[in-house]
Amino acid sequence: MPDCIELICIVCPVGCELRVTVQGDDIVVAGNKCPKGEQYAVHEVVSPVRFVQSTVRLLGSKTERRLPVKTDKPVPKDKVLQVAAAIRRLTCRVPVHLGEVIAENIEGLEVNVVATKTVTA
Amino acid sequence: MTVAVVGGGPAGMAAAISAKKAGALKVVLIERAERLGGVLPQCIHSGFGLSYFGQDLTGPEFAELLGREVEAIGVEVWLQSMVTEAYPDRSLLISRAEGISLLKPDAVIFAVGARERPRGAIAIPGSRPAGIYTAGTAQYMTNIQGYEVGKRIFILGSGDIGLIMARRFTLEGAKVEAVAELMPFPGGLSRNVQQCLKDFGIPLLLSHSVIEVMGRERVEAVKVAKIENGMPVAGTEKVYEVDTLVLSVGLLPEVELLRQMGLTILPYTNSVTVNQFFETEIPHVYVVGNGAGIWDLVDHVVVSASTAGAASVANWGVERSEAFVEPCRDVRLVIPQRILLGADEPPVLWFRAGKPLSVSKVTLLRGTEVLASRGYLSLRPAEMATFPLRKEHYEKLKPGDRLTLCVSEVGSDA
Amino acid sequence: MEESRGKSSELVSLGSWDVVVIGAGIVGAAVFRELTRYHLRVLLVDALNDVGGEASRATSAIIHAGFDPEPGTLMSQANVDGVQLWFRWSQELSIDLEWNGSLVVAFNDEEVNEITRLLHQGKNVGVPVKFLGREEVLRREPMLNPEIRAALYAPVSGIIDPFQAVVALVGNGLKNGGHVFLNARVKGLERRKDGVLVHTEKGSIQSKVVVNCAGVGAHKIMEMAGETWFTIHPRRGQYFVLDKQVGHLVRHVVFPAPTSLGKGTLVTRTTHGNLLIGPTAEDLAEPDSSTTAEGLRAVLEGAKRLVPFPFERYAITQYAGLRAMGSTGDFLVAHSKAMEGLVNVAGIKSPGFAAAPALARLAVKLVGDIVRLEERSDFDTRFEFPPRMTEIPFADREGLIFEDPKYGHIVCRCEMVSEGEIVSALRMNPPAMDLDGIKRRIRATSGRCQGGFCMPRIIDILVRELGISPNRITKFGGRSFVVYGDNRGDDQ
Repeated sequence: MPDCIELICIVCPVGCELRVTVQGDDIVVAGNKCPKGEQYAVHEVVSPVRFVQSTVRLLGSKTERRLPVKTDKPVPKDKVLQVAAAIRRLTCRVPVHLGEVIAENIEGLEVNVVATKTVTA
Repeated sequence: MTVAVVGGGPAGMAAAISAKKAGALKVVLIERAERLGGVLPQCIHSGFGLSYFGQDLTGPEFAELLGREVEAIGVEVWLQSMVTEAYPDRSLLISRAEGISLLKPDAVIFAVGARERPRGAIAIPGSRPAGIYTAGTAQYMTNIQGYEVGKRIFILGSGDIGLIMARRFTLEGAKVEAVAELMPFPGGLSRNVQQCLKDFGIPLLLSHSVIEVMGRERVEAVKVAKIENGMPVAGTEKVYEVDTLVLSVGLLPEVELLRQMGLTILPYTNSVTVNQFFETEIPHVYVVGNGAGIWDLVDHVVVSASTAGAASVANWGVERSEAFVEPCRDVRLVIPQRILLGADEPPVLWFRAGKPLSVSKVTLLRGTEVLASRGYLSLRPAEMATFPLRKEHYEKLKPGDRLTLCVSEVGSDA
Repeated sequence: MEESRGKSSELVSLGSWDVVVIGAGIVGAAVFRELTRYHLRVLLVDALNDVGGEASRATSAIIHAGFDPEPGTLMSQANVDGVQLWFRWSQELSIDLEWNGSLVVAFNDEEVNEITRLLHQGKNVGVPVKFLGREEVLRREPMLNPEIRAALYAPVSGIIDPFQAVVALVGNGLKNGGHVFLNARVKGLERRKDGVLVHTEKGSIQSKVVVNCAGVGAHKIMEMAGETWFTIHPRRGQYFVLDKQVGHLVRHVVFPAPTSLGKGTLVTRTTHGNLLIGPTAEDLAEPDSSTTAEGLRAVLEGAKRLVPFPFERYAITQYAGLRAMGSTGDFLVAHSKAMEGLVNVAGIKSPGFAAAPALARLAVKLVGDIVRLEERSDFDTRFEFPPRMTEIPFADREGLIFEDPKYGHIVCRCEMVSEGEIVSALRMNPPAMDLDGIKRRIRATSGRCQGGFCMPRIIDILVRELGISPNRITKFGGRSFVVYGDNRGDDQ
């Protein structure tokens, strides 16, 4: 009896309902409306990952107290809370530009935290 | 010519850009907040821009990219500026730190967005302590102001902002006890149920609601119960000890300025009627974005607002014959409600289903006559869907036609 | 001593006073103001963070005409006299008061008999009243239930801004040299040789006279003086406030015919332009100003009987207030039977707002039995609120913005309140100290979005103006903290 896992695809807002069947090394995905969905489902079954977005304290700006940031690559799902906690401890100072790396290799996961906003003053 | 855009969120920025692109000499973008972007700067999560920019962006990134266009193309931006009065002749009274100005543009595009329904709109009984916030307000306080809003949180309503905030609070180290939803299905997108609740093991209580708020000074607990036929089911009450109640129970278009102009408000969109160019019943007055009806995707908002921006500059002449569209049965709303005839391109109808539907057929009817129909694999109330009209169908429309847009699940009676 | 004069703060040196007024509701505020007409050292004490924070902020805000109370009672006399005084007071103190008249409608023979009785009662006590037939009623109020038979019309009754009223009275008293002491719940009274010692949570105050205006807690103050003959129980009234877009559904204050439980659920516009429906009348053992599902349902049912209208669709908020139901059924304004120097003003329920000025005058007379009342020649009868942008001409708005650009920055969009006005509410006397204080003074956060947009921004203004950290900002004092502070630990 193969394992059948039901997932909701989170790649885009369509939210396809995926049915993933695992038979040994074979992973069969159904219900996806695009190839990204298949990729997501396989990942989700083998080693689920998530991007993390949060804010860090921003110093030196007249208008903004927080800088929004994100991880530039997804992190293992079970490390999401750990990464979020690490991001909460970061601080940065103006000027900072969209895409600029705020912290490298966060929690040793080979993932960087980058700014998602430009704040120059 | 001068175009004034009221509201500097995604809809307003897109409308301003497209008005300028279409040749408006001067475009003024009037924003009441401290920055452009509307709610985007506080929506620090991703999921924006897939269709418009072709990449998965966070809210601030989407706002920044649009903002760059606004700047590059030469739109005049007024921040911390509030339109306090609007008149049918398109005059706008604007209050700002520099003084009060009266602007009379050739066209006005209202992109004023929506407000969240507060606790009082759904009359949750109980005490009135501190610690009850709408989800968007809590999001602003958390992400922009950097305040810790609560430590133990209950969320009522599974709209997208509520789901997003459940995850956000969790990432901030707070404990989200549960999310309750009055309807038997979630209000937000499925993927948000997955990545915001299921990922963190936050329970989603469908057909449940908060029936009492407790606590004298700050929220101390909420009483939650299963709801059937609008009434709590005895014996299902459960008390959650929390310090914060967050509400995500719907958005209402901000229509005060439109009402001031004398436009009538439709009960099912809670806004005014528009044609496919988002023009109201007053010529050269447009409404885009959540001000015209609640949208789920910023990409759609930007696309639709661009239509209005371009149209505000075009000269449609005096001849304006229209057909009218109304939602029927399980279609909850349709935008536009008026179809201007004789335009170059056939219009796209945006609509929202009233309940989750599997394989369905949507039909545009003139009385009992089927003008056009399309099949859909699934329709969900959380999502705005499109019904593009084909040229041959558009050309069949006659002035004064009263059309209805209906949906039926295939297999059920048509 | 210009600096210490009229200061509303917690730093008033306790010391010794001629009169201490307990309770800064509408009655206490009126007594306070009237006492400052004389050469007296007057202190107004309240348990809460702001004046008018309890029953007076959760009433129907009606100036009742005076035909309803039993003739010959203090309630009747004070109501009739109070209405006359409000004419002048509202003008002196710039309080919004609209004399829009009231209708008591009757649906059946029994109710027609009841309003006929009220008609004669009104005429007896000298209140202008008229009987209106169905057609005339519906001409005046087309939205009323067409099944009504007749109505009693009282032209000299109206609606008042209850928050303004308390703030203006206290403000006028402060201007005339009175003092206010907040967050000081009274815990005990002690008769001393030369007066009464008032023990509060914040220390003890010596005074020659104490006036007890403690509302639903007035019997507790009496108990502290050893007086148990008069008791009070709370009666709860629940209300809905509706969006301004339906504010003009009715012109008059519309009541049903009264029953043994009071005047019933009314429908009225407020001075702010909202529609107000309520109250219920629920007798409670303990004070509890929570709303309940049953209560709110009853309000809707009661209002729909008068005006068939989907009120719930336009709801923006609900609240409940407590009425002090005295055991004698009448108002009590009298010297204490147990403690010399204590004057009790107790059991003040509806029509307490209408009666407040008259009750204050009576209380002052009693104070005069104990201390000499010598009128001040420099008493200033007037009070003015800081300017409201929506209530002044364009040129004046421009002028204000020129002087202070904050007046051009609209913070509360629903009620159109500028940052300058919010700051002025924090700097006026008595000042707002919290979110509810701002709401009651200048309406920010009270509109259709209930602060969704402006509340976070007002937190920042409070932080800046009060010079305190975000986690000390409250909704209404005490521990009603709005946020837990900085989420990145800046506060630590």
